[in-house]
Amino acid sequence: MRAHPLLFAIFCSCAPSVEADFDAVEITYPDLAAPAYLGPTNSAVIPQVSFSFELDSKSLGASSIPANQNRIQSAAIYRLALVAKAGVSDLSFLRTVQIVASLPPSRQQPLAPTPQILIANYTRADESPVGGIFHMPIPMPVNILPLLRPNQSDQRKIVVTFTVGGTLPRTGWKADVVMGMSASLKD
Amino acid sequence: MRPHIRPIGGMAFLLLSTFFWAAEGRGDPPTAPPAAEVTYTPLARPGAAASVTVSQPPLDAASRIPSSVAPASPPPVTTVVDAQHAGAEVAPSSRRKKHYYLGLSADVGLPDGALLGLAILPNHWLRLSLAGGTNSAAWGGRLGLTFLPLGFGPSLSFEAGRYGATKTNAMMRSFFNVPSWVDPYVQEIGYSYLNSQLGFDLRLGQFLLYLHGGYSYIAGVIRAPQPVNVTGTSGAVLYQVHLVEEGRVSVHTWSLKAALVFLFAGI
Repeated sequence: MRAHPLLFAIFCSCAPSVEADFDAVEITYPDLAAPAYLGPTNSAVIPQVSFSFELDSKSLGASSIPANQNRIQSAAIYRLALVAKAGVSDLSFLRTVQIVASLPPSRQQPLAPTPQILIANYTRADESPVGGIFHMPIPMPVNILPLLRPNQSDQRKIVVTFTVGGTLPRTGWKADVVMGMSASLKD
Repeated sequence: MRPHIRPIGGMAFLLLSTFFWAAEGRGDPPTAPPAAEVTYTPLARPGAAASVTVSQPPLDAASRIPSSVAPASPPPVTTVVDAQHAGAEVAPSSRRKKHYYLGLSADVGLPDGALLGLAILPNHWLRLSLAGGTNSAAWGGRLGLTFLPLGFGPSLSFEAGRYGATKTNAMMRSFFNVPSWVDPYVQEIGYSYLNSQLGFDLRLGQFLLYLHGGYSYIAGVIRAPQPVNVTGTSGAVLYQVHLVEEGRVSVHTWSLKAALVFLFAGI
């Protein structure tokens, strides 16, 4: 019967489906501790320190099951800011900031490479004061979908590592990290 | 995979429709007319014509063909009736079912919820509805249009409804199932919906029962006014996730609704 393909097409087009778009999701990691810089200050090289924090990727929908992985259509970071909380009140000392998000090494295969995504690599040129909130320019949203599609052996974590350079404080300081994300889901 | 259409299903539906057509009274079984020759005699009208005789061959009960063709036709009968009231006695409209113009409806379904409403029936093939109710978390409303080509039985409905965003509850969560990791973010939900449904409407006296099912499009919003705390193994809050803007959700799904309508204001 000629009606069969038409009915089948209607049936398929009416099959239950769900789509969701979240344009502005904000993740706030409070009181991220940055270590004191204890190196030389007269060096030609810009002093740098690194510090990191972990996100539980399950809370963002990460799964090793392919069917579940396909539910997340996109996930991107479009905004990032540091808010001074303790030890410093002005973040004008920051000259360079590099932020990398990665999956931690697998427990079963510690030497196997894991996805790493450069979220920002910023060098501040102007001398204007920053104040207590440092907004990281991110010209284009950074796709972090690979971090939400771990393998069976990967840990369900995302490690966000900051490497900051500048006239760094000699004492430890703390800041809140605020990340703006967008995501779309389909089921 | 090619879907199979089962002709027996269509036949069954047709037979069922025919049955309810008969039950509705629109397909009254044909009966033999009581008189083959009717004589109208004006009463208390001295000087008027004594009578008017109309000849009509009796009809066979099954086929309504003249009895001269059908076997075992009943003998002719002569009946004297008041000519002034004859029209009322034999008018075919007296056998027609009463038409009700209004109805009070109660229905329950998904994604509609439970609603009470007013039905307006401008004619036998069209029903308009205006209803208000709840999805167990919020109050909402719905407008609808139902076509009944036969006046009953098979129907085609188009409806639009809306529920404002409000705090979700256990019933809402059970109907709108989401992945566990999304669940904490679904703190408030609201939606508008469009239904296009096929159904079957059964009239029983002043009551109308119907069951409609079909396709629905739902456009909703998800809000999380309270930040979601993500805790570590020790229970301490590691970080917070906050929906700064409401999430937009669109759903294409099947839908179902059952209703009872009490009809009134009939002529």
